[in-house]
Amino acid sequence: MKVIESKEMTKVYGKTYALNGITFEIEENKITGIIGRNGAGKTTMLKIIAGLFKETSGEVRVFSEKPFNNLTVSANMIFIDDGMILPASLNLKEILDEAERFYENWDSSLANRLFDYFSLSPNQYHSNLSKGMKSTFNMILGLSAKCPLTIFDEPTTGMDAGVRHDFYRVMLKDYLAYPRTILLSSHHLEEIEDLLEDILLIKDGRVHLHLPVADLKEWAIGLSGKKDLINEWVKTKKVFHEKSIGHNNLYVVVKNDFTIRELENITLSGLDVFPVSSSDLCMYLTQKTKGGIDDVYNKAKSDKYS
Amino acid sequence: MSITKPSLTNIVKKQYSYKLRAYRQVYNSLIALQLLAIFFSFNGVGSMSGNWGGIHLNINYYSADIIIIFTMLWGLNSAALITTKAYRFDDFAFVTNRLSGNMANLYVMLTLSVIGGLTSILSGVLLKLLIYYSTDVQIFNDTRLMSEPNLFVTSILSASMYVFLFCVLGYMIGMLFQVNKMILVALAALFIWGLFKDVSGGSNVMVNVFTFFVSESSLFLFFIKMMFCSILLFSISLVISNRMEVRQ
Repeated sequence: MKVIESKEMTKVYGKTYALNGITFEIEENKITGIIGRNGAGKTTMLKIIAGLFKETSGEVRVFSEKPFNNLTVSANMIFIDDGMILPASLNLKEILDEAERFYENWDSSLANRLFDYFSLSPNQYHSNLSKGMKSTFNMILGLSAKCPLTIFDEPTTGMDAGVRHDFYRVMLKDYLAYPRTILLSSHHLEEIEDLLEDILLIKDGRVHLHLPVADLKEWAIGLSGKKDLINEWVKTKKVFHEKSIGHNNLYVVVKNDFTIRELENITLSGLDVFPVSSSDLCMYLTQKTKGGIDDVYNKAKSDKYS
Repeated sequence: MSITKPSLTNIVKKQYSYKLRAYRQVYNSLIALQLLAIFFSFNGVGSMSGNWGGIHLNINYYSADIIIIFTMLWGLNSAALITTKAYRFDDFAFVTNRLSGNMANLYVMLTLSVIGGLTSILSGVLLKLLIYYSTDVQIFNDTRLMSEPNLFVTSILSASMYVFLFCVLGYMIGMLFQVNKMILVALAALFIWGLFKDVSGGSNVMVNVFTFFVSESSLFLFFIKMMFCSILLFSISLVISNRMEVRQ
């Protein structure tokens, strides 16, 4: 069953397109990572799916229903982000009690165990928590609700490495025990890629890539060696990233559609072949220019001397 | 994992009880305001005095009027408060849609009005008790709790209705304000216009509005008026809230 279907979803703020025709489908009980640079439209897209924003045009279906202002979607979905507003007059324990009343599948034993493990105090108020503690508490809400669709938008903001690690682990364990559809957006792809089944890469308000993580790892390849030689091999290809190493050497990242034969020849011709990690690849794919920040600096230098 | 189909009534019920707990600070302001109002009422709302055959008589009128007016303003303020972003977003921490949120707010306002109406009338009783014990005033025609219980109940009901009317008014103003901040200026302008716009008979528009609500001798007509106006105001609020995005 498809939990989320989106056809040409757009969202316009004034004249800027935050989303520019997003089309994808997400199957039931998959963990999908939503990856993209700041301002790519991840949060807007997730909020439309959560029914908090209304799409400007296009067709969005969650559990086969329009999500905006929809009670069924609201009851079966939980949206966790770092801007979560919880009632200021209730303390943490009371908030958990309220959540238990609202969510059918609420797992109070998990909630209490996590609550104790992360040493939150029941009498504290959400607004007084530190950034990391807030995120931790929100995460407990998100996991314990056991909603068929669980959306985490940047859930690890402010968490230290230890808590992040614990969070990923408990999320995976709980997912294995109670499979459900999880959307997880994060800047730390290297930390979450082992959890994810699929990756949805958003760039400039569009879906750039949507494929299993395993495929993404082999999707691109890095070549390094003499400049002329490399240019020869990649002249018909789209170069995602390039970086000069010393005077004559070059490192490039291109799509891996070489045949085994070609790869052998590349190695024989004296070039080194490297796998490209998914997080590096995602960074290269979403970069505006090939050379990255180096270009900015080099351009300033060349302007000065010209 | 299977999908649950929630029923609107069920969600509204849950939201209602959640809101009564989450909005607990409004009770504190109610208590503070009513104490203040009791203090202001201590000198009576009206008085007359005279000499009759060597007897000096000083008559003071004590009533819960000031307390009820304060409670009405409290209702207006509390209802406007729950339309602000912080409170609206509280809904979206849990299961909700706009209709269920508004319905729950309506029930919350009804509950607050009954609490406000009941406590303001009882504060009136407290006021008289305080006067009885603290001064040597002789009280006549005191609270009708014992002698005329149905009148006592009626006064609670009508006080509650006044508070409720102000609640839905505050709710609508709050909603309008969320859409456009200039609305307060427009409302103030309307109010001032109403004060100075003379109508036939030597009064002005505001006085007529006031009379419309206050000087109704028929209890039945009064209820009808109140219900009609409250429903009208709340419907406007519903329409306005449908123009808003759910949560930022």
